[in-house]
Amino acid sequence: MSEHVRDLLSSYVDGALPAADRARVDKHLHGCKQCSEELEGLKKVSKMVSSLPRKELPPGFMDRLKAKMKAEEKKPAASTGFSLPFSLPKLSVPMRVAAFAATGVLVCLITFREIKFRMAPSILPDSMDLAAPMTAGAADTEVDRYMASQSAAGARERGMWSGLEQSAENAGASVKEDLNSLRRKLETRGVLDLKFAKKSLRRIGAPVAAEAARGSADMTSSNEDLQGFLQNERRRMGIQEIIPPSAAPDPKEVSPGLAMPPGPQGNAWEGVPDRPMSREEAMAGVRQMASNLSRMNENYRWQKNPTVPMDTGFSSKPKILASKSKSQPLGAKEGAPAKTADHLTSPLAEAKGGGAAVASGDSFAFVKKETLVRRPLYWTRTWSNRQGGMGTAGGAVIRRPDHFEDLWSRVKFEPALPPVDFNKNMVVAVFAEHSETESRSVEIVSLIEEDGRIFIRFRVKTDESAGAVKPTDPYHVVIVPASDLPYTFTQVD
Amino acid sequence: MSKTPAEEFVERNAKMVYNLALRLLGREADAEDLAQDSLLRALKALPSFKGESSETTWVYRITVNTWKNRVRSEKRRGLWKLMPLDLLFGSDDDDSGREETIPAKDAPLDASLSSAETSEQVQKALLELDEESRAVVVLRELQELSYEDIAAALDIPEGTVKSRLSRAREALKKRLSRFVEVG
Repeated sequence: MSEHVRDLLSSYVDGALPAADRARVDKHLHGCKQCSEELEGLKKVSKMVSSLPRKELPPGFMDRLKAKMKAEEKKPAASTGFSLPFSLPKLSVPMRVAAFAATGVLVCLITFREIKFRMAPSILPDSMDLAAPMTAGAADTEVDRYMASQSAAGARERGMWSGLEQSAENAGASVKEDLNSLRRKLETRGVLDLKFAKKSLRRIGAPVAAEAARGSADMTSSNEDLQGFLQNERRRMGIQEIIPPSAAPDPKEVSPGLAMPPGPQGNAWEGVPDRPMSREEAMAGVRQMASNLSRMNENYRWQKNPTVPMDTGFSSKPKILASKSKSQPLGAKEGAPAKTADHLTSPLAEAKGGGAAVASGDSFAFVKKETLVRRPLYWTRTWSNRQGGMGTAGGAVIRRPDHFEDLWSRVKFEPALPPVDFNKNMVVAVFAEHSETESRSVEIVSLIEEDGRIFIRFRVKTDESAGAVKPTDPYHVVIVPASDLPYTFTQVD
Repeated sequence: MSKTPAEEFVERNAKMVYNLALRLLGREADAEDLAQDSLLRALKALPSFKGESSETTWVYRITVNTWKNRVRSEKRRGLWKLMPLDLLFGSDDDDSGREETIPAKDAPLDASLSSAETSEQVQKALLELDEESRAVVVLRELQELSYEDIAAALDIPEGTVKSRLSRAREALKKRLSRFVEVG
């Protein structure tokens, strides 16, 4: 029989082969069942794709397009095309006082986050982390530390502050505009320059000018402090993006199991009193706003998708690294709930050179400090299965009961939600992508706190034996002692 | 009032750009956004369009490039776009960990799947392809471009179009194996 012609079949389907090749394929197909079947398969696939429905334009498409065209025309040529991803809330006069009074921090904070965020992925290794909720206490400490560093300029600043309050009536109307232009300039410079910011702020309210001018030398010296504070804040809050209040999650995307967690629902200023405020109160307001933003961010991200990408270099398809010989089926019993002991027979024990203690019950918190900076997190309960996962690759660290509930409802691990004490514990989950053709399993290999970060190492395995279960949506979920550190998922061989 | 050339251009191309975007992205909201951005970019570039290729190919090219830029910048920003979780509730009897190959409910798939369900599976399989392959397949199967036009739209050699298309169809065939079993 002549050589198989598989490579030519795709072009053959399209009628794109030169005559000679075409004749060769025709002749071969006549006698080769294998290639004929292959051809039939390709034709079917081709037909399936080409018969996907062509959709009409959604209603209003043209109107929205025209609006965009108009907006484009109006845009000044010099514009960077950058805009705040949320609209500044409309503020009453007293709120404007507070907002304006706080602009030194607030504007820079937001702008800085934006700039950092936009530059982040290349320079910040933790840019993929899920937002870590900022506790009010932690924020207070940070802000206080920052404020303390300002004490040199304190007296002048206080003078400036009261000046601001007095001038608010005059200044209020143009605050928003000026903030925007200030932000744009900061953005263009790409540098947080407090001196420059102060200069710009001076334009907003003339009465402030004298104070600000006097204070500017001192303020400049604290530029580094401020940057340090913002950097810490950003890390602490895990700010990746600021969610526009208008971008309420699409109900279709919100899992039915998820009740909206308590907290701000789109107004970052929620909880900040609407009345004249002292400097301290205004600062507290800013803290509250920043914390609200962080929580909105977290909620939003959670509703979009509770998992984060994992550090494997794949975009959506997990790389199967395990060799065939190493592949071990997880087996049916692993779908059973509440395994308590045998997970420690695994590479974790190997990695730690054995000596792993075994215990059961959610209250168990094993703390084995090898060094100050390295602490394995041993899991006390675990679930894994080849089916019933998310169907997409991703990892999640769950520190809140409502998130856990949501995850549970999405993946349907078992009928009853197991009790987890989130004061002491948290849940870590890893999912591998759905596969029709391969029998995959996923396994968390180790969970180690190291240098202020949790490293979650996991493995995806393929079982190629004939009777292996297919299709697969593998998952592995464990309960471990709580830790509020940032984390990284890494796939291992 | 007669229409401006810009309006005519948009009307000629909007629907096919939207459908291209829809198949590249899989979601209608995303598709609208991409389609509109692409059309805006095309409009801006329209004065410099010299007619080296057909207008259609040229617009496809802009759309694909706009899409690729977006994918790149999203990857840079670390934003994670998961595919729709449509598999999640696809089969609700597989949480017991048993080792059956195919749940009984799914057995007569070919027969019982409605065309909407098939479309959904096909779209999902498309989204699992890498971006380059997806673009080639969509341009070929849905927009029915010739190899030459695909090469022009994607700015790659015709040989590459052929090999990518062949590989992509193989991959799709595997992913959709339960629909395309032959014999």
